[in-house]
Amino acid sequence: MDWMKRSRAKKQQRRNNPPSEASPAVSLHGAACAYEGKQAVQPLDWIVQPGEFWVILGPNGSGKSSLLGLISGAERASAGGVNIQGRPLAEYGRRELARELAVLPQEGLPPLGITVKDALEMGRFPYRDRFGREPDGAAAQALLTRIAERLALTELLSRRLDELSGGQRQRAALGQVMAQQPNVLLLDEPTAYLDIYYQLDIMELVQQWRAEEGLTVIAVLHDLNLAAQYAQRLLLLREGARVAEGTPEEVLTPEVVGALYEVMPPIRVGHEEIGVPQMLFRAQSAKNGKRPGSE
Amino acid sequence: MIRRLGGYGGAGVLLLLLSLIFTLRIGSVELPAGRIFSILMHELPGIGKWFPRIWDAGEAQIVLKVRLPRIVLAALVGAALAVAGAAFQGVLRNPLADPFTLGVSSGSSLGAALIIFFGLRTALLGQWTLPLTAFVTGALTLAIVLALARDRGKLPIYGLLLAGVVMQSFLGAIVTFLSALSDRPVNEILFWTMGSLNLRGWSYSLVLLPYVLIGGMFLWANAGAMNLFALGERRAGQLGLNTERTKMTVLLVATLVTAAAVSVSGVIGFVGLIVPHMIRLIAGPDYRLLVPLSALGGALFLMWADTLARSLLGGTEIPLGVITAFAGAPFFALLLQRSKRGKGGYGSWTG
Repeated sequence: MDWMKRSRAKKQQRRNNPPSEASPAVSLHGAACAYEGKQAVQPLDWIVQPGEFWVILGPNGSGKSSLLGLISGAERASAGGVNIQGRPLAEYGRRELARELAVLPQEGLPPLGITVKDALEMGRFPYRDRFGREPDGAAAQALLTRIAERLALTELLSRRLDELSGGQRQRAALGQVMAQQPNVLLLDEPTAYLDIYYQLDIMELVQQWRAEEGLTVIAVLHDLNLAAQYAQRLLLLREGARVAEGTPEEVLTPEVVGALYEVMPPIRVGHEEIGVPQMLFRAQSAKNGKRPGSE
Repeated sequence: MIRRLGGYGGAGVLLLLLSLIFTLRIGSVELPAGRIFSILMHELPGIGKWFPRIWDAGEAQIVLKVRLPRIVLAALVGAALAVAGAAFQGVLRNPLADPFTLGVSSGSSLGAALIIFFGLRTALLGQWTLPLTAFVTGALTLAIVLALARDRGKLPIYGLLLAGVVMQSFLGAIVTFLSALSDRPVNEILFWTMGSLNLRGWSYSLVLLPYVLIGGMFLWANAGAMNLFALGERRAGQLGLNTERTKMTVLLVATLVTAAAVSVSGVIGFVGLIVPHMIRLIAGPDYRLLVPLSALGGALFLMWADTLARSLLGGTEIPLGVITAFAGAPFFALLLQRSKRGKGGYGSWTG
């Protein structure tokens, strides 16, 4: 009966002090992440305001995923602390955290023999009691119907996940995450395995959701040009430490990007329609082909 | 979901009742189904008076004291093993997992083998000496396997599977050794490890019943969590499930249910492996259906298997484990064949 007490306590707390405008959606205070002596994330101070769209950029092994892990609670901070909605992460119960913060995984949903409808319903797990009952069944049903319509999954609801394409499964994964009704969404390279159509599709759907519900988004992306289109602010990481922070316009300069990834400084052009900076890369010359610092 | 559970569950219960009548008929003395029905109904409080005695006392004796307790025990053992098997497959996400994966059966076998080998079958606690010892050694084995698998406060699946395999072969070797040293004409140790429900009265069912009921309900209540496990432990955690605690408690309860069943019946293989797969083919991969329907399916399966075991060769009992393996292995081959074609809930289920 622990969960009952907890959820009641949470409601009480919400009534007594509704999340004030002042408290950031996510804040890190000297938070660091280390495994087996290796410092994956150096102590970092970082504040994400409600409704912001952040993209974290950096080369492989720069600590992007560890940083997301710190925020999602998958990794324990080896120093400092993480606050979600102004409250220390460690104080959240697991279900409570899953109602506040959701993670869209890189690989979407696995190709299981369960239906899309079942997969969406799983997103309601943090709201359901031990016997799978919703506090308000009708409202939850309406929510799931709305999500399915929104993601054009209505036709696919009775199809099994293993009958869907990778892009459709990623949509279903997004639907599951939406059913969690989080305030903060973490995206871990959500477009890594998708073609350009579905890359834009997923990013557009997230963008719409953010615009309508004031969702806070923190994404790890590899595609700089995609990042420049959607991010309000960028955080550039290298070897677990912040290299730069700011709007795409400010941060994405040939020098910064070239140094970040240890490549020839790219050519920067403005996107003809939306004006955001886009980067064009060229190969290193053959003589200089070895990545500096890599043995 | 509830409508589907009602449909499949209703059909299962009906089959179970029909099977009860038909398996009660089979034996050295033939009894007509109608008379068996009347004998059973006569025993029910309230409506018993509607069924006047039209049978002699010997017939009632055979039905109520000899056949019924054995059939009920078969149903309970089958339900226990199948429910535990479904739970194991759920949290370990491994299609080959069964209730014996964590070495419980070999632990119980060792306990039973020691008791039989040293001739202590009725020492101290009478007929309960062997079941109790088997239960305790089974539970001890689980404790050792969990300790072996534990890694920095977590229970990684590969660690559990490996520790289980190691314990099974190690303890199995000791049991084989004891059985080889045994110089009796009938190798009791060997027979115990192949499972039997012969000569078990009502008290055995009464001992097992609470494990099946309480353990089964607990596992059913965790069926929603088992569904999340199919998405991977990481994703399950992100959805608010305490994966380590769930894994631990589900494995613990499933193993205790298994140990209780094994301690009264010996080691009966294949039930816990194939029944959940069979149900998965019929009703799909949703554990909210799979757990209760596996209990029904396991009960049905073992009722019939035990009836074959006691009747196929006339007076000679066939070890129950032999029957379940005979029925189970070809079925498993069939499943494998189906999964290769990529259809059915099984091939696509491992994720």
